[in-house]
Amino acid sequence: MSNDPVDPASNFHSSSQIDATFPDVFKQIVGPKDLRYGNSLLADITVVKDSKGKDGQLSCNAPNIEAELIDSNTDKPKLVVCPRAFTRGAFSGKGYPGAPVVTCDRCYPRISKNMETIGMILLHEYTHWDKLMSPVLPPGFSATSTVDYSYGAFLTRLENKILAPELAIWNGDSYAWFANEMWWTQACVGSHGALTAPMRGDN
Amino acid sequence: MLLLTFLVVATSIVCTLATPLNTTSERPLMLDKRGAPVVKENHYTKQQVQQIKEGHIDAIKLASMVVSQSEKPDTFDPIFQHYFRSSDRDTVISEQ
Repeated sequence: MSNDPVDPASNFHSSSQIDATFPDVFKQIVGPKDLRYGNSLLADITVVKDSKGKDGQLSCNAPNIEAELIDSNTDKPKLVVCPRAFTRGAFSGKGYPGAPVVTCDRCYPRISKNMETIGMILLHEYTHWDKLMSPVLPPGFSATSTVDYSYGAFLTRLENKILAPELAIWNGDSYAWFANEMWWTQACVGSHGALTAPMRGDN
Repeated sequence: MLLLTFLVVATSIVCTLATPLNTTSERPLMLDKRGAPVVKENHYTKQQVQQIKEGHIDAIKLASMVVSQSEKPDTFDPIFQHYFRSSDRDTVISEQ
């Protein structure tokens, strides 16, 4: 895959249908126009520690998992935030012991895992909640919220741009990376230039 | 007795006024008016709770940024204008 500078907005979606859906998903997360501090529905999510599911397995034991939304087809889902997520920083510039401060210097030159934050992880998980997403995702698909076709910048771009662009709107990481890429582009383009496309090792 | 009562009340007021609003270096989170998930605080360490709350604010910031840019295609940077042209606004950006 080329590592030349690319149009960043083209990295994680492509078709007109996707263009139409993407803004509505983000609008649904931030809430009504006059109070865009977070959809009030989000208060029905409870963040809990990991526990064994129906299969007897702990969510956080799965490889590389950072968080999981449980009971996503109910009105009261539970969100498990796994230890791996706490190694991510915040783009507000606040680091924690064991979690880096995410900066332009850390992110550039390519879109990569270096720009991951807990905020991005939570945004991804919110798109998995049926009650929140079903009003804005188009009908005609078996899911009423997003699922996980791919994780990470490289694989999400590969899936969305090459393998199955029509599935991009159903992939949770599409939204996380789209917003993430736009954020860092806006924050850093003046000082660092355009971001380049992710490479395999950047996932 | 009256004097004693006065002294107790006065001391209480002075102590209240003398207490800083934020005794730590942590930023106030201002979550009261937000739709934010409820964190079971005894499930996580104090730092982890803080990270989750900060993370939620960052998630809303990310989403708000996309929304604000999608509603102002003419004022946004060239990257987003590529996908959100003014002429397409009615079909691309739906009213909420």
